Amino acid sequence: MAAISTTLRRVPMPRTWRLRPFDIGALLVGNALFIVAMWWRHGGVGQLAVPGGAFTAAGQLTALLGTYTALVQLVLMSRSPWLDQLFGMHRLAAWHRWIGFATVWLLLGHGVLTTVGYATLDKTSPLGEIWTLLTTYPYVLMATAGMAMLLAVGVTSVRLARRRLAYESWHGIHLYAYLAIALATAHQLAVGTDFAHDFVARVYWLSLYAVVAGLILAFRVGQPIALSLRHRLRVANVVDEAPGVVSVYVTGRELHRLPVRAGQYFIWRFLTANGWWRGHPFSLSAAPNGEYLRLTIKDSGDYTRLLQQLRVGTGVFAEGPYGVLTGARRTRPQLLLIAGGIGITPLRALLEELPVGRGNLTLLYRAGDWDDVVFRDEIDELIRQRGGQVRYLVGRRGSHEMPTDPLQARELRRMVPDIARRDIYLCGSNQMMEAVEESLHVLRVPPAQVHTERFSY
Amino acid sequence: MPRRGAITAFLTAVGVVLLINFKTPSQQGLAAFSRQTVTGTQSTNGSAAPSASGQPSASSQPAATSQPTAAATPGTQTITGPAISYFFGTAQVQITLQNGQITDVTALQLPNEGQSAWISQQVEPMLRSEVLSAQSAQINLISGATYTSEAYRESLQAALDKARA
Repeated sequence: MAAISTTLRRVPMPRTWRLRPFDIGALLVGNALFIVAMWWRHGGVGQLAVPGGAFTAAGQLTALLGTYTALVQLVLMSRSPWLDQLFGMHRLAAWHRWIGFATVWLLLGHGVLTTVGYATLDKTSPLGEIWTLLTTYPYVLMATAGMAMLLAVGVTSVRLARRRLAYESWHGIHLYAYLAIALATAHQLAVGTDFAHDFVARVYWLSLYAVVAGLILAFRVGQPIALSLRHRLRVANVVDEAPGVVSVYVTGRELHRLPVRAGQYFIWRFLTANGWWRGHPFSLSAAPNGEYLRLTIKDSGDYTRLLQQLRVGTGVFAEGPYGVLTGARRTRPQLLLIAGGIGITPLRALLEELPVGRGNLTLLYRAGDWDDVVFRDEIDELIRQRGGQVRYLVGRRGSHEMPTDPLQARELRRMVPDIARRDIYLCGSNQMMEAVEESLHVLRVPPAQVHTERFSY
Repeated sequence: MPRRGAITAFLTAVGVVLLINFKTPSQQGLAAFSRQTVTGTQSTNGSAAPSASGQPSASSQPAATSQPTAAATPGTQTITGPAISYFFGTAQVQITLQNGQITDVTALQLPNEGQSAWISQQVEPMLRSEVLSAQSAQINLISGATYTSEAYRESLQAALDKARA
């Protein structure tokens, strides 16, 4: 028994790529430097001698960098499995948020700086110059319309506005970013100092666009279509798990060939009249077994309510698999799974799949109410088979049975004394995960041992 | 929601089509300009001058106007102004005079790099028609191209001075 318990076995991913975070960083920084060099060559600070030249030069640089970050934004959201495996979608999304605001500021800066620069040069007022730019410079009106769209995307993503908007409205507005980027292209090539007369620069710039478009088409369109054609996914069964919680069983052809692991998720689209147009991420709630995929959904809005009325036989379109909360990330033989509410779903799948010696597995399952605890029978059975232990931490915080937060550092150490030597897989609400990460920090658990996935941003 | 999405997509498409169809003055003459690359650095009187045939100007002359002096009818003079360097590049004009009347003016050189090229292409026909109607270098500077207009005017004035000397 002791021999088994000290062995670490990872679950290898079915597909891997020889990419390191460094490669991606080098690519990003390399292109940024190339673009600055291009700006330098096509005027750069040499323009400072012209009246308004400082504005014009800065306007040129912000345009180049703003467009570059806009393209990077598209890459971050291209659902590339390479980036997902390196960083995880939740981290990509967090970067996307901040780079997005930077992009809007850079491009707004470009508009203002260029207008002021040209106005100074022409000895006119900036307002008059705006009119001249819009009506006499080719495609500048088009680019300005794109700017307005990008601004709308930025404004609706500010936390205050985002909270007031339905997800679908926010997402719909976000799609305009693609159009905005397309609309701005023509004026860059026609009047952009860097491109109008430099063939090499133009080829380089357009090839950036081509690569980004290729990634988006491959991973957002091609990959899900190929997957759906190959596996022909259908709803096989819909089962009530708890009040407001259902499991959907999905079957298809050759599921054993689907390159997916426990802990991962797909973005699911159910092909009903009212469901085909929106995709939502749900983790597999059972380890992939070649026969069926199971996802479990808690009724937390209109969409999940709709899914609860799914009919058997409904076609399913799945994009993925994504996610880094897998057995490939193992660093230690000892395991601790911490679930919050419906965040149990990927951990339930991992509980089944992760190789672990007897006595090295602990599951902490936090829920506000016993009605929120799902898979209780399955969990108890799996824990028994694998020689682990489970603790259900049920009750509203502050109530008589749960006077303090059971996931605070002191409580965690009491329940799992060797916590700093374990791999920790964590999934729950953002609030819960932040609290637990704080506790783990206090307990000096090395960050490399903490594995998480976030679904709300 | 899908219906609202369809309506929004339709309106967006209409907007984009309108935007694509919006043409600035320079775009209307774009095809013509791109053919008329301004060449010739120091062409003296009588040497082959660039043709002005690609110009969309309202008062456009037949291409034959800027022919070498030798082959021209008596009383026709072709004079090249000095090349005027200014920040964005060089401006140089060539004028054709017939019995003291300016019948044509061609820009032998104007900045042709980057954003300045656009300015050049836009303002050249405007300056040309101004010269033809003013019959002198007393022309209005074109807004948005003050420096180019000034250099153009300087080369033109020098050419006129040479002709009337």
